[in-house]
Amino acid sequence: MRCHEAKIRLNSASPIDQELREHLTNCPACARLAGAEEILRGSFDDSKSDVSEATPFEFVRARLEARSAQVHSSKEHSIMSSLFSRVSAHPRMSIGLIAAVLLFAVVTLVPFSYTHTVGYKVTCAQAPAGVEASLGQVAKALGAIGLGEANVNASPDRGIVELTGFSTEKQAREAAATFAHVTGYAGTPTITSIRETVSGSIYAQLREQFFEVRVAVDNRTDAEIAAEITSRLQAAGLKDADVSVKTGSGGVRQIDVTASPSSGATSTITITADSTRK
Amino acid sequence: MNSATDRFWNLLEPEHPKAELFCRRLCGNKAEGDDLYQDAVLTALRGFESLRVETAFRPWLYRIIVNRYRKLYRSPWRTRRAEITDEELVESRSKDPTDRYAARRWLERGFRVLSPKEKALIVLYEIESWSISELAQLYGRPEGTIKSSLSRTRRRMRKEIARYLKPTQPENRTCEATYAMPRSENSPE
Repeated sequence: MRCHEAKIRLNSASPIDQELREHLTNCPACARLAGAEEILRGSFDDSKSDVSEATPFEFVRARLEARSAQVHSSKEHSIMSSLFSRVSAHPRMSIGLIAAVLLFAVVTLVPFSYTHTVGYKVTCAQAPAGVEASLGQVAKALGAIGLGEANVNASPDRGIVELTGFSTEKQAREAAATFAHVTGYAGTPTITSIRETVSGSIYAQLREQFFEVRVAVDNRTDAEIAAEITSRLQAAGLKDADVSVKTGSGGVRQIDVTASPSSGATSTITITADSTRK
Repeated sequence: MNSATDRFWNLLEPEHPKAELFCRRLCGNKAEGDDLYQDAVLTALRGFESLRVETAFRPWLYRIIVNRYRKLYRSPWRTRRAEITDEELVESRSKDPTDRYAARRWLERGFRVLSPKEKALIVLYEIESWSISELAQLYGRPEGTIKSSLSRTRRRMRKEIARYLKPTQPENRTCEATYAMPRSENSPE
């Protein structure tokens, strides 16, 4: 018998016959395997009989229930599971929290349609005859007062002249006055706002209504403060802002701002003066 | 206490002695075995609602134990080293091989070469006397695969133990009586 066959016989745990016995006698390696199998079998049988006394079940249950309750309040508990346990423990607070989160989501994420003014136009009806010949002069005059980007269009058959491209109502009024001066128009121009419908969150909509300008006032003159406020308002889109800074009695500064935002809607302007003086 | 928790404890109670003993045998000592058992029971308690068929509680519980054991002993910090020397093993072998201490040490030596999964398999089959079909249900494998795994695992243990046996020993002649013993019906072939 060869070792290979002997190992197969040993692995299959078949009874040892004369042939295998002779091989084991003559082959130390296979004899070692046979001895190892004997040890292994005896060890397994001995382990079966080695039965230690089990811990009383009530004791184990009480300990594990205590541990389970401890785990729920442990800091090592996962964030999500601890959040769920807190939510279930305080339902009213949870409802309020969920409502607050939903409100925040609605205000900041959910888009709503709203209209806002994007510009103004001036319509001059019953324009005088031959006014189209003066349109070039009108455009030049508008450019002279800083309204060079305005468009001047005439419809002679209808007798209407339209001036468009004004960002503020003030610009529109100035343009109407300029047109009347250049062309001799005696009628009453109609200033209408151009509105468009946009989609945005409530937060975005409200952001359009607020302007805040924060300036430092220590060791600065009135003119310097006024200039900074003016530039900051212009950067925010308020190109026609009139800023006045005056120092009254007792060193109290008074800041007056007159401005119309490009949207034309009512806006809130906040001027914050930073001072280290008490 | 809700009804699901009560049902869990009612299902665990008859399994508790054997399951705890199984954990002790896996870990090799009472303290670690009890820790493993308690961790496994806590895990089972938390996941009890995922058990759809309560009649499958036993294999489900043992699967959790085996997985916890595998996770515990997968870390290199948990690698265990046999403390006895080769001379001690051979000397103990020369005494009665059924000596409890010597038998335990031989098994520990054999278990060293096994993965946690293999160790759990061989302990369940050889010591806990699980059948091949029960093991197949536990591991979710065909019975033929379980038999092959058992055969392979025994072969590895035998080879490891054989390393500590001298080439020729008079005691080897007695092994023929052992192999003449009848095999159980569930022996892997």
